[in-house]
Parts: sequence; structure tokens; C-alpha cells
Amino acid sequence: MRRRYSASYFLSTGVKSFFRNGFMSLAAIVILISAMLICGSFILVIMNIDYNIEQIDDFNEVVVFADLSATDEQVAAMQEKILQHPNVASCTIIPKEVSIKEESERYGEEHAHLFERYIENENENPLPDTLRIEYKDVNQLDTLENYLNTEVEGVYKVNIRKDIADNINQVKHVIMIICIVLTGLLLVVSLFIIGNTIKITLKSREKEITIMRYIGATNTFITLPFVVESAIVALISTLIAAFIQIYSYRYITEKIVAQYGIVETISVNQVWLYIIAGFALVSFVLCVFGTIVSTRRYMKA
Amino acid sequence: MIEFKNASKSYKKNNYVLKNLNLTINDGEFVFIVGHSGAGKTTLTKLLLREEKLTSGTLHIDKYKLERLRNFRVPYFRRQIGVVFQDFKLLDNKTVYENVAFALQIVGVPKKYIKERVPYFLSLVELADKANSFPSQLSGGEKQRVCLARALINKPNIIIADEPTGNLDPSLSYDIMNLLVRINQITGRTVIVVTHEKELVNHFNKRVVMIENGEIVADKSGGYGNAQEI
Ligand SMILES: Nc1ncnc2c1ncn2[C@@H]1O[C@H](COP(=O)(O)OP(=O)(O)O)[C@@H](O)[C@H]1O
Ligand SMILES: [Mg+2]
Repeated sequence: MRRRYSASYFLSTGVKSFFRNGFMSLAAIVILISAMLICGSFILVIMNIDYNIEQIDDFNEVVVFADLSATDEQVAAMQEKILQHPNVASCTIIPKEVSIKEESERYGEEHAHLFERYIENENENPLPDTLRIEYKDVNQLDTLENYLNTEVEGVYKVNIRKDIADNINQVKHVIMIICIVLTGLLLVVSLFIIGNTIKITLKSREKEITIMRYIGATNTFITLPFVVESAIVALISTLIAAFIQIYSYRYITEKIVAQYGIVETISVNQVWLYIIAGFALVSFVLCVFGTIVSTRRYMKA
Repeated sequence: MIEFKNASKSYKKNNYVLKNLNLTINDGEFVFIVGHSGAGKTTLTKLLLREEKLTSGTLHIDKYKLERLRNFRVPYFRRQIGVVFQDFKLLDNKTVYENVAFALQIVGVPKKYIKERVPYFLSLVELADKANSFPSQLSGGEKQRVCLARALINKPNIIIADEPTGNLDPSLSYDIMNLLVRINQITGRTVIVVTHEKELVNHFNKRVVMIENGEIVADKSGGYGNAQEI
């Protein structure tokens, strides 16, 4: 006779036990949802900060002033030298004639007479030639600065405006640490609660399990209803948490964009699938892990 | 066939509960295991079920060599054995029918066979009319018969009952014992009954193995007869 285990047995036993443990099931779901939401929110915030830093990078630039006495040939040689650095995306020369005109325009018509002298007589121009550099990676700025100050000849001064990026990076690191610590704590708590739920189920089914073991049920057969039970917890938590996360993210990003035009946000369309997949992965791994750990003790032959 | 050879068991170091046991039980035999409380009878049944492992010696049951049976094979080994418990171990939230069917379910027997077999075994223990009752609605004797039906339903080669009448009135005890003897005769299964009810044992005139302090002190047919008192 062919023996067949019916899936309906595992499903109905698991579902029944899920409802019988109403309170603990609910607790497990609530804690899992909170863990996922907190963790997910932090990750989204960090992703958005990163995204904005990339945007800011475009405005960040390094400005190198050449010595006042530098000739056009020397400035061209400086440009060549600068372009050799791996972190340099582009380097444009702004001749002092252009700079002085820009400066004049900046002060407006009524002060134009102050600049006339310098614009007309090249030798009187107090401004140096300027090299404007766009770099590739904000994190490699220090080496670039060092390179400009030591390796490139004819440099009068290097201006680097990296304070914005630095500040944002610092905030990001703090958020990341908080995120890791909180997530770790919540995962431990969820694991504990899931494990406890399973243990209560085990206790309430101890007699049944004893009989099953005497009659010759395999460990897999005994464990599967528990796996089903925790899979239900994982499924419900994932669905609710993903729903909340996705809709609140959409709402908040729309608000922020409406309020502060300069801040750019990652579109919800780009993240919703990752949110669902990430939540599903985390909750299922947690639940299955919790089930195996808490049932193992009962599963000796 | 069941064969203990120089089998010993200690739970704590050098504190032997069973010492150097040699015992052979042939297929189809009916055997009483008797002895004082604490003699080691339950330990013996636990060894037979591979609930406990031997400390030394060998125990062979049919094709299974229990002294080196791997854990993952234990469930399949246990399907050769039906167990009857002193405390019945029935599930209170299941009916008589469901309690018996459960034993088939958990070893993966298809529904079709379950529907055929459960009524047959319920009638064998004379409980056909109680199929839909819950354990709480049954007398002790009836509960024990449900337990017996559940032990029998997987058609095990061996039935083991540890003090099956320990919680029953004397007259009911007799009924259960009678049922076990009849099952042995009808089905030809090996039946091992642990008990300390001397009169009951004497009534049935079967092989009796007496254990004292972890050792077999008597093994003979025909009840205690005039053997030493226990
Ligand atoms: N799990 C155990 N751990 C330690 N000692 C045990 C255990 N089970 C039984 N014993 C001891 O083994 C001896 C025999 O017990 P048992 O086999 O239950 O005897 P019986 O069933 O004949 O009354 C007793 O002294 C008992 O205390
Ligand atoms: Mg005992």
C-alpha cells in the first residue's frame, strides 16, 4: 500500500493551532511588523540620503587658484596634471579675464566702474587663473586635495567645499548605527516571541506529540504543522508591514517633494518590490529559524 | 522475534536498573512480565520501544538491531509495535473514531483505508456504538479498549502493554486482559503485558517472566503457580 501524507492535515493542523494561540500569534505578528517597519524605514531614509548626496555631488566642486605669475602655458600644464588624477571627472580653466568680468557682474551696474581698470589692463588684474574640477567620488576627496597641494606645480590655493557632503555623511553614519542596533534588538525580541509561541503550542500539544512519536510519526511529520503555523505568521506580517511601508512611503515622499522642492526622493515605484521581497525574506527566515530552534528539543527519537 | 542478549541498562553511572538480561520471545507468544514496583519492568518496555538505549548488550527485534538503530529510523521501527498505556493517552478533543484514525493518519495511510479499517477495529474491541463519543464520555475500561484499537490498527507485529489495567477495576481488568489474550489468539501477534496483578496472571496460564532488582529470577509457563510470592 502506498502511503501518502495529506497536505490538508498539515495545513488544517497549522491553521487551527494559529487560531488557538490567538494572543501569542498576534503578539508575534505585531512585533514582526514593528521590526520590519522600523528596519525598512531606516533603510529607506538612508537610501534617500545617499540618493541626495549623489545629486549634491554635482554641485560640489574643487577650485584651484594658480599663482598670480603663472603663464597660460603653465596653467595648461596644471590642467593636464590634474586630469591625470583618477578621481577627477573634468577640469576647466577659467582665465582671470573671465573671472574679473564675472566678479564685476556679480556686484552690478552701479559698482562696474570699480572693475573697469582691472578689466582693461590685464597686468593690473588682481585675480589668478582658476581651474574648476569636478570629482567622481566624494569619499576620495582627501587624496585629491593632497595631490593638488603636493604634486601639482604652480598652485596658489585649493578651495574644497566638502563640508556639506561631510555633514550628510556623518548623519548617515549615525542613522545607520541606530538602524543596526534597533534592528538587531527587534530581531532578537521577535525571535524570542516566535519561539515562545511555538513552545506554548508544543506544550498544548505535548500529549499529541508523545502519541505521535509512539506510533511512529517522523520528526518531519511532527514539525510541519508548526512550520505551517509560523509561515502563516510570517505571511500575515509581511503583507501588513509591506502595505503600511509602501503606502506611508508614498505619502511621505509626495509631501516632502511638495514642501521642499530641492530634496529629491526615490520613487515608490523603484522600491516597492524590494520592500515586499525584503520583508518576506526576513520574516520567513525568522519564523522558520524560530520554529526549528524551539522544536528541536522535542524532536529527539 | 525479540532477543535480549546480555542486555544492561543504567540511567546513572554504575547504577544498573537492568543487569545482563537474556530473554527471547518468539513470534506469536503471549508473555506476562511481572515484578515489584521498581524492578525495572517499565525500563524493559522503554528499551523495546527504543525510548531508551541499551547501556550494553544487544536487543534484536525482527530485522531491527536496536543497539545501533539510527535515530531517523526509529519512527519506522516503532510502526512494528503497538503500545497500550496505563493512562490511555487519548486525545480529549477527538472522538473515539478520530483517536483511532489518528494513528493511521500520522503514518500516511490513505483516507480510503482509514474508512475501512477504523470501524473494523472498533468492533473488534466492541466499541462500534461509541465511535462518535469523546473520551470524557467513556468508562476506564472503554478508554483502554480505544487505546487497544489504536495500538492494533497499524497491524503491528508486537503489542506492548505496560500495566494496562493499572487504572481499572478488577472486573474490567479481567475484560481487558481477556481481550489481549483473544487478540493474541486471533491475530497471532506477539503480546507482552507488564502487570503485577498476580491473580489475573494466574488465571490465564501463560508464560511469565519475573524480574527482581533488574534481573530475571523466573521464566516459565503456566502462571506463577506455586512460585515464590511477589
Ligand atoms: N529516567 C530515569 N532516570 C533515572 N532512574 C530511573 C529512570 N526511570 C526509572 N528509573 C529507576 O529505575 C528503576 C526501575 O524503574 P522502572 O523500570 O520504572 O520499574 P517498574 O516499572 O518495574 O516499577 C527504579 O529504581 C527507578 O527509580
Ligand atoms: Mg512501571
